[in-house]
This record gives sequence, structure tokens and C-alpha cells, in this order.
Amino acid sequence: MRIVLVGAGLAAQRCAETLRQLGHDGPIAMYGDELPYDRPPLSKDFLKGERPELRFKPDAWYRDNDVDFVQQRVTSLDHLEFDRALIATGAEPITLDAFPHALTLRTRQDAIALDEALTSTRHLAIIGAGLIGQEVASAATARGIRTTLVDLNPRPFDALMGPGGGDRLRALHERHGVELRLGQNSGPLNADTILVAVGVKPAWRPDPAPGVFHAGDVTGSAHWEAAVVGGQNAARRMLGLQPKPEQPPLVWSDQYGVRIQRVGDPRGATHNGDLTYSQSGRLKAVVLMNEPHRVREARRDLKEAA
Amino acid sequence: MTLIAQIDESACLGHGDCVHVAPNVFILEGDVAEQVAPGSDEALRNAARACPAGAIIILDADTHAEVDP
Repeated sequence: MRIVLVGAGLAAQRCAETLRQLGHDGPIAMYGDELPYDRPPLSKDFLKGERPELRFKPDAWYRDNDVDFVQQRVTSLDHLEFDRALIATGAEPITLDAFPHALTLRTRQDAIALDEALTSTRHLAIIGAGLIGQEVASAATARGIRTTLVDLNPRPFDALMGPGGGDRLRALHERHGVELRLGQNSGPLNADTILVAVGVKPAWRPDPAPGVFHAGDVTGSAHWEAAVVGGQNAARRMLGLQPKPEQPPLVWSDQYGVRIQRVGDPRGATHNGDLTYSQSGRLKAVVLMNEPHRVREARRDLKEAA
Repeated sequence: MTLIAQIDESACLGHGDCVHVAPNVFILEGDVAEQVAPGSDEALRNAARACPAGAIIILDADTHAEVDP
């Protein structure tokens, strides 16, 4: 059975690893711009000027595991030969016509460009207060850069912290001097660098076909863990196996030295006031700030409540 | 107090942050972390704190009681 992985990010990498672990011994080809690398450090370590190794595996791994990497951006399955294919082309940052010279942050090159721009930036404006915008604001203020964070949504921190729970994260940004312009258009910005971080769009036309699977950001779920599980489960389905049992989803972010970990899904649930969320009396999500030792307990509580 | 680390394989997602903070103690085997050498209490605590998935459990070596990292 010939398997083709279109895209070379986290989901494709985990899919290839799982295929080999489960004993698939047929050909695997992986198509992408470069060998898969990890992205979370791009909005963290990279903006401190650090350049940690990002590659998941050294060259030898691809050779030893007979994963044929083809440096080519594939935009259609039309001319590929395969029995099973994974579409894991990821997503591309949405740009805004109003800010034609703004930077975006998605790739290693983007992170290097932003890090270098910040060395001479006195005032940074970030359009979009999602995870990327929040982490960049944290990095920029740590470098002494005046930072304005803009979002049309009056409560952008609720997306990570849960409905009604964003105030503590908002306070953290304010305490570190971030100027917030929320629930309004940006108005005039006298910033010398602008970052647009308003989200991403999937980098593939939907194209359902037999033997074709999707995983990672291309499916619209923009989280690290979803790409891992999606890649692993795609491999399992390709081989006719059941997907792994579902775990409560986990999302994390590092901001101002605080590690935020969210276990479960708070959407549609009610804030209990202590960064836990319930729906119809059942626990749905727990958000932790600098309490990594409680992740296991939170996961256990959520499984019991499910 | 001497500590030991235990990896919850069902929770480990292969982030590799433990390998980053304690490179001679943890490796990624496939996509799951594995402890390959003894680590100082400090190294084990650092690895447990760094793990975004909360998959490294720190235990008291004598009592096997779970300890906050």
C-alpha cells in the first residue's frame, strides 16, 4: 500500500511515525517545503532572540524509516499515485488589506523576520488578540517595546480562558503595560511595526475522496495537540484500525512567565468563577495558571464527569 | 528527598520539552518520552514543570507518593 502525505508539518510527521510504529512497511512519501519542524517556539523562544532546534527528527530518521521526503509544494492530488493520502497542508495567516506592510507569524522565516524587526521597534501594534497576538505582546513588552493590542472582540481573552474567564489574563497584559484597544477598530496607529494575527485559513480546497484523510490545521482546528492526535488517527484509519480513545483536549500558552494550560473544552459552558467551567452541572473545562502539577488531576476530573 | 519520575504514556504527546530541559535524562522514543538515565531531583522537577501535557509524574522514591513538581 502506497501512502502519500501532502504537507510536512506536525500532523504529517506524527502520521508517518505512527504508520511505521504500527508496522506499515509499504512506501511513504511526504511532500512539503522543508522537513517538519515544531512551531510553538516561534512565538516564544524565537522572540527572545533564541534559535532552538525545531526539527522533529534528524535527516537520518527519514532514511532509517524509509520516509521519502519530496521538497515540493503539492496543491492537487491529481498527479499523485497513492492508495491512501493524508492532506496536512496546514493553514496560512489571514492578511488584512488595511495593513499591506504588516508582518504575520506562521513560519520559521516569519519568526526570524519579526524578531529582527523588534530589535529596532519602539512601538509595536498587534492586530488580533488571539494566542499568537497574546504571546507576541508578552515577548515584546519583555523587550521594553511599547505594545498596542487591538481586537474587534471586546473579550478576546475568553477564547483561551473560557467564557467570562478572560479577565485575569487581560489583567496580566495590562499589568505588563500592554495598551489594549478592544471592541473597536484600531483607529490611528503610530506604530513602527504592525503584526496581523487575526487567524488562519486552511491551505487546501476541500476535496473529499475515497482513501483521502485530513489532519492538523487544514481541518480548521488550530491547536498543537489536535495535529498530533489527528495525524496519529489518520495513520490508524489508513491501516483499518480504530482511532485512539479521546482525551480531554489540552491547550497551553506561555505569557509573562505564566504557563496557562486549559484541559477540556469550555465553549458553551458556564464559568464557575474559579476558571472551571460546567454545563448542566457537569465539569467541561479547567484552566490552570502556573499549576502544571494539577493537569493530571484536571484530566481525571474531566474524564469522570464525561 | 530523592525523587523518581514516571511518564504517563497515555498523556504524553511527544512535545519533547523534557528532552529540551533534561537532555541526558529523557529522550523521545517514537513520539513518547522515555527516561533513559537517572536525573537529579532538580532535573526531574524541571522536566515535569516543562511538560505542557502534565505527563511526567514526580514520586517520592521511598514512599511512591506523588509530589508537586
